[in-house]
Amino acid sequence: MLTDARTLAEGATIEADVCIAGAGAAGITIALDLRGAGLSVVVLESGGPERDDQTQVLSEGRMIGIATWNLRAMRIRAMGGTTGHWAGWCRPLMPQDFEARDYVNLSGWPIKYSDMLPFYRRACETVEIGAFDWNAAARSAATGRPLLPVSAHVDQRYYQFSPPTRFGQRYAAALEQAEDVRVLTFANLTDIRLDQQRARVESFAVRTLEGTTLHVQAACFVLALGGIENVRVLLASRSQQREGVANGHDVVGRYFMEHPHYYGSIGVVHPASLDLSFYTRAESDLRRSDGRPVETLGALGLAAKVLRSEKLLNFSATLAGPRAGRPSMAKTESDIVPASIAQQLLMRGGGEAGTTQLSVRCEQAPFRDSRIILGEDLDALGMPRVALDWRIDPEDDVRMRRAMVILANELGAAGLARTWVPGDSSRLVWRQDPGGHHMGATRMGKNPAVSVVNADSRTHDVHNLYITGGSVFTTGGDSNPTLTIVALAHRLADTVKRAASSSKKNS
Amino acid sequence: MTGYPRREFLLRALAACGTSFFVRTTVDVDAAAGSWQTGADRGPDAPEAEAAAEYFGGRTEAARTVGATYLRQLGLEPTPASILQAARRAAKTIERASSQERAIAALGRDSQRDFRGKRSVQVEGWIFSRTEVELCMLTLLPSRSSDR
Repeated sequence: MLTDARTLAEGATIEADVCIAGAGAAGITIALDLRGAGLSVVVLESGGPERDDQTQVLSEGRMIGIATWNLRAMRIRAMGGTTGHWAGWCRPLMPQDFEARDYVNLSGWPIKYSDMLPFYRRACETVEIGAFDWNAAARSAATGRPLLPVSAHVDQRYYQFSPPTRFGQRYAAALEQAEDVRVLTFANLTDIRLDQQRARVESFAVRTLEGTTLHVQAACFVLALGGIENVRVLLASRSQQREGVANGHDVVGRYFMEHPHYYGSIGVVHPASLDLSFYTRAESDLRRSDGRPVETLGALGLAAKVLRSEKLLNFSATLAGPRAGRPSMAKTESDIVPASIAQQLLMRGGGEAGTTQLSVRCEQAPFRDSRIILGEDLDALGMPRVALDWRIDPEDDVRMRRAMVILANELGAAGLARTWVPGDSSRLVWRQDPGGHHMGATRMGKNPAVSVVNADSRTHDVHNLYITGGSVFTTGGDSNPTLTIVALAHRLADTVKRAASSSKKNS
Repeated sequence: MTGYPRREFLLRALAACGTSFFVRTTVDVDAAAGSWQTGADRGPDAPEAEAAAEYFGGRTEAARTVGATYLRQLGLEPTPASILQAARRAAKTIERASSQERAIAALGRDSQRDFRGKRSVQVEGWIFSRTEVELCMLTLLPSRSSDR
């Protein structure tokens, strides 16, 4: 059921077994999974069914590091959260993304890829894509669109595209009809209140923009506010502890990661006859559960063993034709040796050449100084606004350049293309465009000194407080995060179901 | 085996040409080539240049641009000796081949092997095989086909 929090009595206390803050992809997924479990669930949503300017202003913040997109416009405060403008790109993290790598600081999730498989399968249905099937050779065979004939050093992969699922619209009816789930709209979490030992959450303090104050008491509390707001609420909840909640080791807000994007900034010349149809977004043989076809888009990366032996970060490169007027399109050729020269060199007097660009989405290594902090200025609810200090370890540039050269060598060895990589001799000079993927700032790990939540997504410090979303990513891989966020939410729903049921029995 | 014309002979012949054999250190390929082609003391035709030109299908404009750029990038004096020294692997392949056709086939294989063995070089951001860049430099040597 949906309730407008502004209609509730001032000072009301709401009791439930589970309280979820945030009705975006993660929050809605958990709420839907908890239906019929014999638990009462309250979901707090800052906005209403549709986006409104007054609420959206609460997302304003400053950028003090690498400029990223406008924080207010990038995140949506309404039912469905940021899926309201999600582009629908889906790929799971890869097995190696979960593994520890001695050359990547603090890498290694406390869970394995295999642990995630059942939840990824559920997530595929939730985001309305095809089966959890990521075999490029099989897809190529089924669609008749050939893979580039490159060596096994190159990993062929692809994205599936969600319709995209607008969670607020797609699942509104299900939430409304659920008798055990109550969604409070226009309800902003402003403070996390702990017990005297600071070991458990007693209540969430909630305010509306109209000034109504509410309290929610529950056995289990879940933060599903998004990669930045999760941090903001933890840091801003300092009515009892100066450092905020779950921040005993000064980790909350640190290790913020994005997926640096090089939009079309790698130039590629190739024979015009080269069949690139696998690398063009098109309908595939995969089907959604309702039978509609799923679009796919092929991409190139490097094989896990190459990444490991060369000490590289993961990346995926999609091919795109020149798109005139795109402001973020970088230079893709040298002035002195333009693409036409490279084309002539490649073709050696025979046949026509074509030119395309690689758009590369990269992994960023966890970097302690890349962080979200609270600013001085306050929003309309009296909460400090965030300041985002996104930084990238300079070593990442070096690694990414080496990765691009290796990919260029592979394309050259296959006789397919010559590639232009920007930058000087050692460092890839890139446009550090973001993907709008906010990860890592309440990271998952075994060691409380460098992580905020454990393998169950429960905070190390506060025993009935769980966090989900991109902020719990230990490392980010290069895949767009929504599918993994939803998979983690399904996983957390099972955990919370057990914890809340057990708590209910004991009480 | 009848070797493709000997490198030593070529070097001696080029040395006799004196300073007219000149590539400017800017990437003004036409001007550089012009200094060889229009001068009264134009040097003898270099067989390596012939083979390199054939490798690129007889169209050497792009190759000469890349060759001149790479020479400048290496900070080398654009003399025949330095070109042949910098391009010695490709020159040797040409020299060893029993025919131009076989030389070109061998150079193609070398180029693929370069990429596989990470022996690529960067010229103004483009990732080329070492062999093809050496061939680009060889096209800067005078030959009957250099103005095709």
